[in-house]
Amino acid sequence: MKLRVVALQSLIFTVEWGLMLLGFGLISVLIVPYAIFPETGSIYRFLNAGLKALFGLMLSLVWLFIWDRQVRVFFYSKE
Amino acid sequence: MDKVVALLLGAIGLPVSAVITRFLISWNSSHGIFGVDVHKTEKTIVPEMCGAAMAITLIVLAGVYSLVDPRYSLQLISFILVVGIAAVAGALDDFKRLGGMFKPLVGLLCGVPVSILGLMFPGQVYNPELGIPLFGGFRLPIIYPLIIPLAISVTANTVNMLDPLNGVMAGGIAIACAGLLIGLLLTAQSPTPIFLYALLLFVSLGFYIYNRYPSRAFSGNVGQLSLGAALGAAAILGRAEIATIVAIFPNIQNSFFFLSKIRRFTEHRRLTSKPTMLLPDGRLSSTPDRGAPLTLVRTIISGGPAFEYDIVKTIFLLYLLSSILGFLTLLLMGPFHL
Repeated sequence: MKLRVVALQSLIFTVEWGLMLLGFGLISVLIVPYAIFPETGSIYRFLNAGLKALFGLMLSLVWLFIWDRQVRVFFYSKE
Repeated sequence: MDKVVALLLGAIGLPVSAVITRFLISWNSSHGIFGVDVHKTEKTIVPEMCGAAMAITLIVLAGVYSLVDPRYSLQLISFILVVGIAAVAGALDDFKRLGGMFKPLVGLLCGVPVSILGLMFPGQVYNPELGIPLFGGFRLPIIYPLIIPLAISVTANTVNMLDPLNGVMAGGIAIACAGLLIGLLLTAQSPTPIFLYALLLFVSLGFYIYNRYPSRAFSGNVGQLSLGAALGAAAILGRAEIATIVAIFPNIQNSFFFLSKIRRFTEHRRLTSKPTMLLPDGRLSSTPDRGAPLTLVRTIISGGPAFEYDIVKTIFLLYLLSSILGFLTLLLMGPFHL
């Protein structure tokens, strides 16, 4: 059993879990309630939905970047 | 009472899956369907494609449950379609060795029935409200049906990618589903999510009996893709999307680091630089090749070589942790209706 790996991976998973909850919280409080375009026509509804999805995608990329850095620092720093 | 019936019917998945796996071991052996266990020094020959037992069991028992409780038949029909398409695609890939883009594209196709049935029968297949831990949730009426095929493709392929060692896929998914099932028993107000996760747990366990170290049956793409697609469908139909992602963190990490290094969809067997190598004493070691993908197994042995059995135990411990986090996610979401 690789206990050092388990300990470091546990830290990574817990950090990523916390970030995930924080990110979804941010989206539900700051992004979802507000409309960037006035929702008068169906095209604006789609535009609003697309922009919100784009913001979610950007947060996901940041989340994956932090995950990437952690794994590389903990396990592949010599490489 | 509904929850008890759902749980018991899901539990039947264990003996059914085990019996069909046992049958497929004999049938596939007599028909020359074999794979080589490359992580053994003696290169053992093991019957391949026995994971079809999981697909068959998932489809049959979901069909039985739709007859037992017809209120949820639309959800169960979409679940059956997802598993069926994934199983056929997996079997095709096992026989024909199709290209690297095939599985992600087929994964997208698997989710289409859920989206279409959901649009045809609003509110009866899935609920486009994403449940968020601590913050309630929000409706995604436009984006949600578009994301479903992508989500099922991700789960199908990520489960497919993390089955490098004996028993890892079936055991890992069983651990992930066990945590989610306990969480759903405490929070879900409908029996469907309980049935789906119980079914996934016990079907995986039934197959694990023969797939565990040292393996007597290999899953093949047919089992990996259908189990992964079933997990994605269960997450959507059971409104446990975020908790399921958390519970499969080991899969997410493995796939993300594989793709970030290789930068394309490709088959493991077509990789020129392998992430691990087998030492003469039977231990697995990380490759010194800098171009090799950073898989979860390679990460685990980055500090030094280890025997396959020890690596599997380590992976199971990681699944246990992510399963606990998935369970906590469900508790933080609180009680919910479909």
